[in-house]
Amino acid sequence: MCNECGCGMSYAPTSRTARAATPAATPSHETVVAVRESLFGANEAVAAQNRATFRTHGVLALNLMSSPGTGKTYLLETLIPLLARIPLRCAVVVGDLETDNDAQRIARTGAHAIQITTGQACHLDATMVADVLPQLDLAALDILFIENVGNLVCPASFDLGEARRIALLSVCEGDDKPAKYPTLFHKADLMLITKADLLPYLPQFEPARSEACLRALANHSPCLTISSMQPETLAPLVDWLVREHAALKQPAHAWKAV
Amino acid sequence: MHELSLCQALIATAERQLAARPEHAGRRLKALKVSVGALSGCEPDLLMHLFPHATPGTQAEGAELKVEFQPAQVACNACGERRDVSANQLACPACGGNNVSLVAGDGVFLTGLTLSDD
Repeated sequence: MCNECGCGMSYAPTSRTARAATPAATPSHETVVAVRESLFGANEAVAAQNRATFRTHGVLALNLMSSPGTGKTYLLETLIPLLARIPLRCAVVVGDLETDNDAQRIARTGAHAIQITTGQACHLDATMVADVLPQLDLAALDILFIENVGNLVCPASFDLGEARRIALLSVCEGDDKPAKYPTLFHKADLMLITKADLLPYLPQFEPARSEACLRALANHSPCLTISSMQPETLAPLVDWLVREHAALKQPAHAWKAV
Repeated sequence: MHELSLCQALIATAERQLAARPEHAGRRLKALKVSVGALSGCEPDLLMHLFPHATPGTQAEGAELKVEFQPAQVACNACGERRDVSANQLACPACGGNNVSLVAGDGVFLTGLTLSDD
């Protein structure tokens, strides 16, 4: 007797032929195989390798995600010299559809900057990052900033192997962006509200509202309001980076596993 | 998001699962069941629309795609409530607290394969 669908017929080609003669009277001979496998599994496997590589070298890898134009590159240009004084040694991997303009700008700070030109691809994935890692001297690094392609949708779904995710939102945008793009913001380990020097001209943007949207995503991560034009506003961010880097040395550090 | 590449990943995953089950060799893949989370970045309608374009020449050719939407589900660490919530309101609907854990709704999974003899 069939053990699979309970149709009462023996599981043999002859019975299938017999059943075909009276299709309405007998159930179709089918089996449902239960499985559970993530469709992001291939990317997640490479991300896990990247994460292990970063951990081996004690490198704090940070995935910076935002819409285009939040000032990710300018922030790094301002931040890297401040971190160099600590001293924390930084490198940057930056993704863009075209040009190496951002890498050139960052290289002027003295940090090693690698441009990934994605063509028409709208996000970085773990393999793109893995492919450029051999170009970096990880043993001589403390922090690797991975500046993702400016996009609030696709980067959210691709783990790169980072330890922490940073979401940026500029005051020129809607302050409710975290509510509109929950997939990206709910996983952020830090939210930065950028270009705060423009706040006097943009009274409709309320940083408190952005933070409330983030909290509605059950996200307890810090939210910092900064301006790269006013380097003193970056002090809390520098403190956060120092703490996160120091935490890497702790055996109990909870490495982000997505 | 990237529904076409997700369709390709889905088919590759299904073919790998089938290859690991030689007892079903020769049977036809009639349907694939997928769970799509509200916070996965994947749009179920696009997945359904693109699936037939990804199947020709694969074992999934002619198969039906069954998509099951998985709402965001949180477990409250304060009051213990476990409930489905909207994707941008993840606080606990029972006690209002936001000390919750997201327990479902952030992934895309192949969950079932229907195999047929005909």
